[in-house]
Amino acid sequence: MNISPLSGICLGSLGIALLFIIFAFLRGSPGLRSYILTRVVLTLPMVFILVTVIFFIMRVIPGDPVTSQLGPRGTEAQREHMREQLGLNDPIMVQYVKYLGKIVRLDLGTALVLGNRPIVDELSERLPATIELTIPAMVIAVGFGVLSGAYAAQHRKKGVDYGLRLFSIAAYSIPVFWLGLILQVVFGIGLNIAPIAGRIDPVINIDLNRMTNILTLDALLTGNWRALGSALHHLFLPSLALATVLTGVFLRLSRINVIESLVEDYITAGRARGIRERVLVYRHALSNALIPIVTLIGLQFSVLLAGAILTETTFSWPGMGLYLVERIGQRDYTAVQGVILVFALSVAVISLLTDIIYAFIDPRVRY
Amino acid sequence: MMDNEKEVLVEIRDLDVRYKTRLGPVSAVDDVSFDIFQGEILGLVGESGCGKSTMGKALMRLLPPATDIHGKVIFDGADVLTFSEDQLRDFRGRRISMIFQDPMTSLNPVQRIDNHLVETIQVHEPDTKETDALSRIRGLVERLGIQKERIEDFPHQLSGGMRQRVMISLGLVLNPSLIIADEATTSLDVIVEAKFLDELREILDEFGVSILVITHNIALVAELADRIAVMYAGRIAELGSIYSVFDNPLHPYTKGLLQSVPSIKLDEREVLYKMPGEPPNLTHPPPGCRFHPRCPEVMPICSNHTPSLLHVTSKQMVNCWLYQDHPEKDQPTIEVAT
Repeated sequence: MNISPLSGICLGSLGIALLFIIFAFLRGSPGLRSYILTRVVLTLPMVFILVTVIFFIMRVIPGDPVTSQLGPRGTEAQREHMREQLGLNDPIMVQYVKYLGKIVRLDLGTALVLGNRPIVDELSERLPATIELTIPAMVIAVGFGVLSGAYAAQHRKKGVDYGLRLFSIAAYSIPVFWLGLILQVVFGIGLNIAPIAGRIDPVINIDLNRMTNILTLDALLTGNWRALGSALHHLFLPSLALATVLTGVFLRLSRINVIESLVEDYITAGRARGIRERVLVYRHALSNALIPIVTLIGLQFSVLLAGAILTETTFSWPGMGLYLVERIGQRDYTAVQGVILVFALSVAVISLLTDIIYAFIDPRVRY
Repeated sequence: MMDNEKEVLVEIRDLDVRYKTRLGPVSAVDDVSFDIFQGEILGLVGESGCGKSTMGKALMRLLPPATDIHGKVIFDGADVLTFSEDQLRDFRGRRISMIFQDPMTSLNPVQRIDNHLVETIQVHEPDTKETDALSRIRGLVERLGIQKERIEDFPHQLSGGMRQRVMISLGLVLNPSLIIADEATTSLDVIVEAKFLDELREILDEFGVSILVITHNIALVAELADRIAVMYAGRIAELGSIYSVFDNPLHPYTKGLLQSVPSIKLDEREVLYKMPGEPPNLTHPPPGCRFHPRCPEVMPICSNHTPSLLHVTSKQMVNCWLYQDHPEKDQPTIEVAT
């Protein structure tokens, strides 16, 4: 299997996560080490089960890639030829064992439709787009949610607190695709200040030297400021939509935890030593409140990916989510399996990372 | 006598504290006046809910913002109750500090011990560098029996006694004039408590600081304090030097309180005194003297008029009609059954 430079860089982000886990493994206590080991080992059956379920579900649902490619007018000979070519004539158990064998060799196979490209190549174009969308959304959601939660806690039962709580409930209950549509109507069409689809202006895209396929990063690395501006401009609405729906839950959790921390004895003790109220809220109370918030970041990551699927569809953002939706429609079994595998692995890695970070921010945690 | 020799550090005058609750205002401290002298240990005792902790918090203005506080707390010629937020911040920790009830929860669990101390110094002296602050705390911390390698630990890594020492060092680090110890030994076992008391006394001698010990443990006050103030239902019932109050309690409540302390010498046949009744609900305190429904020596006047805290001897003040005159005192309005 030859690794394209694109997929190599894409795997790089996974590499950074792995490096961190290895670092924690080497630096951490023996308890932390065995914990990491257990978690990594437990990830394998989880991924195996998920991959198996997806493999069979895809084949159970009506329709098949051959029909989706040839359409109803394809002759029986054409259909038969294509089925044979794609290996769909093998008994299903044979297909399954072949598929597992490929996965073990880190080969995701080739797409069943549209030119039969290797899935790894396709994902290496799509994954960076999703990363580019989800990371800023998560950063905005956590940053804004946590800080405004602490602010609401500090001004508890005042107007701003009620306002923020109302906002958080609204943000939490609005479906992201609906919010996306509204943002498109208001900012894209009404005010006409932001593009409503795509990742970058196609004209500017021509002279952007792609290295990582994360366009903002590429633009930064090559110093292409026009491209950076255009990429950020295109990123604005989708990341805002995705961030908003995630913000609500962070705001609420941060608010309630800061409120609980603020009545703790060490806050009164700090106040009795003359420490500023602002410092008590944003340093002392918030640093204690962060502990459950970090756990929530791990849990919300799967919500983030689900939200990304809807957001990408709404904004025609060519990421993993849109790809998944397209390929489910075309019954591209291997592509769907590939996307699900990547999603499952990233959720597993992120939740492991948050558990490890937990051990570092809370000195009382011992694994 | 003794009172006149020492300089007054804090003057508390007509202090009223009312909490707002759903059931109406709770009069937790009612018309309390007393002085705290320089270099003394004053013990403030009373049952749970008598307002003693509220009093301690009121001195530092640590009560919830919705609380009504009236009166005067004069410290260094300035009334603490009129301080602005900035003045308060400067005042807290530097002039008066507080040692809290539970050393287990009074330290920030994610902050290292040395960081607590350095932060306290830097809050009041923003120009002090961290290294200077660290070298300043080193002596103090060792003096209190905390090994210097332990100050980089997190609170949960220390024992209860050790944490209480950390709390004392936090209280002392800026050389305040008054330390309020609010039930500071309640969560410690007796052996650690005894050690803590010894230390507290030594500190007093070394640093020349006044201490207000707030506790329900009357034996602890007997052991430690120079003077005792007995609180009942938000008022001070009796106040005086340890010797005069313990040898000759005047207020019926103090008498009852002292009789209900179990003694190791208590004869088997003697029954421990049990005070009748219960402390009053402070949303609706009884009129007149708040102790009169439980008082064995109640007089007609007690339910109509409130007595004041007045000197009976030079060393002892008492808040009771038995020792005060009033035009109505000798004319019984109600037939008292004997």
